[in-house]
Amino acid sequence: MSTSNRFAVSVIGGAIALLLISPIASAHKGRGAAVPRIVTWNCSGCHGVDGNAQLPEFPRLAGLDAAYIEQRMAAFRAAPAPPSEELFYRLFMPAAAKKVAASSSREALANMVGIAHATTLKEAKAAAAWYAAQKPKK
Amino acid sequence: MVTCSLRALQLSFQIQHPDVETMHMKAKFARTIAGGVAVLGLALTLAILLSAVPAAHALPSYARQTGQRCSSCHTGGNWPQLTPWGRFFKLSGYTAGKSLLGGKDGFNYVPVGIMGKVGATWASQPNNSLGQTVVSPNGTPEAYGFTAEAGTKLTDFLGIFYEYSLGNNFPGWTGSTGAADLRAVHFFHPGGQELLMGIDSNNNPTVQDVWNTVPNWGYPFAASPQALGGPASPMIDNLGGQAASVGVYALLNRQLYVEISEYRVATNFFRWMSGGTSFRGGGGNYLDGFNPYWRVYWTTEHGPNVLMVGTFGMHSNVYPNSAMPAGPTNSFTDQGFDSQYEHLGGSNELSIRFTYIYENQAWNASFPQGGSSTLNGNIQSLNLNGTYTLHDRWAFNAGYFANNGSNNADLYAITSPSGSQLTTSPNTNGYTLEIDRTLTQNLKLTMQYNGFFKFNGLTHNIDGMGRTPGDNNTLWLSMSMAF
Repeated sequence: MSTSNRFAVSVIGGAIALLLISPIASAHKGRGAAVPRIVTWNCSGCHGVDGNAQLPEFPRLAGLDAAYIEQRMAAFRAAPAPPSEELFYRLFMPAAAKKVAASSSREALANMVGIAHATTLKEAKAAAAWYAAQKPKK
Repeated sequence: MVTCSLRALQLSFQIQHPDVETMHMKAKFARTIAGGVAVLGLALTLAILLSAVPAAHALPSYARQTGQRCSSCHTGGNWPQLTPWGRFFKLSGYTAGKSLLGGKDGFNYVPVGIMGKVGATWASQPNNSLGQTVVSPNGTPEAYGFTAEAGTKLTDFLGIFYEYSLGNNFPGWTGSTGAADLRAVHFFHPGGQELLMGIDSNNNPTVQDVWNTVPNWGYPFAASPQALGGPASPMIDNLGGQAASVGVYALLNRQLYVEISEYRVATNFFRWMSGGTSFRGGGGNYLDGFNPYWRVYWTTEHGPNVLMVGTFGMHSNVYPNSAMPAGPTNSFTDQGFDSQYEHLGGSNELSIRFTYIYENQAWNASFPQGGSSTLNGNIQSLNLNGTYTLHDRWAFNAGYFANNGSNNADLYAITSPSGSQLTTSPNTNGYTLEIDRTLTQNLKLTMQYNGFFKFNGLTHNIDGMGRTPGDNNTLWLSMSMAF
């Protein structure tokens, strides 16, 4: 077999093998095509698909009131983004740095602010509805 | 270690006698200081220019894309260690966050960043007993390198990471492609499962990986190019910027990861992945045909604890001379086993990492040509290390390394000045200690000490003139900037 054919066979074979391994895992509740895209591609990276985050620094969202989640997202969106050019703010714009620090609550300095700014209201609403419908685990 | 460090420091500041040589040394020292300041000034100027770009709220580019701080993706802010979110961000194709195009300015963020590193290296004994230089320049401020990176989400399913670096080779500077990683991803949900599938193309086996156990992202995360190292390392760690791949990967329920890729030499269409590599000059590792790479790992999270166990490997056929890519090749089969444990959350975070790579070598080309004294050989590479980060500001690292292998008189021989052969062994082991202080997320200070127990299979008289492995120890102070 030529190297080109071997390459093609390896890639295609690998793809088929990857698809075949999917049934071996146990069922994971809350996962399926109905999951909003924003949850799958963004929120779940920290909060989990079913909202039962394992790491303690990420709040568990499963079963929380949808209006409450939306309200929190709105607060994150309204907060000024923390400056990533931290060094320059400190060195050359100390007044601006102080202003941002003073206007930013603890949560505003957290990492939700940036990601909330990249999320539309429609996406936030969909995520809130999804997590509100999930069952919290003990 | 402290004794060696003090000795190295003393060596670097032996310029206290007002003779002519001392004046020259002072002048040289002043020039290097001025050079370092100039380099730093240039970096700051560039960063100021970048910070003035409208709508640029974070740098480098992924921070601007996601609006997040470095510590979101990098454990304790100590790059390149990845957090669970950082790993997910990479596996999902760098697609989280804002789209590049759109907004009132046309662009939502600037998808490029710059990084730089300056510092100084001190060797325990920079000269041998004849006064010949072993580590040079010793103890003088140097610019180590500057990297421009372009990393961004291209579409909702496609993302890229690309670096181009100017590196100090002591002497001389060369430009070369750093990491290149292009991936397209999508989520599927067969039978109620979640299956993330991706197609990836990159320029270095393991650069696509998300764990800090693999060669490309392993500890030490950075090292002085002036520091001395052992003579042998697995081929999978020597193909960076010279290979190009196409592969597929899948992440099942965010627990089981499987990847299969094929690597070929990064020429022709893939030349943009190997900028700076001179294959025609004979200085590269020129792959013959397509060479398979595999990766499987399983990971789980329980509260603040994360565990990963995995395996990776590659079979590669490499021409003995990259300037003449024809004829028989040498074959290398690398089998790696790795594991990483993390305790995350709060202000104290701990990572412990283990990596073992066994390489089978078949010198089918070099042995008949006299480039290897044996037809077959092997390398065993072991790394055990850990990092403790505190308040996203401090990182304390320690690691043990051992690169052992079979004897080879043509590859690893050291002879004394009298002509007697001292060793044919590549066996080298030692430790690396490091403290990092992240001043702001743009600026990190590093103090690293690299020590050896054994060098080239010897624990004493490694050059036939009384040099010890400890004489090769180095202390490295550096400042890294990322904007």
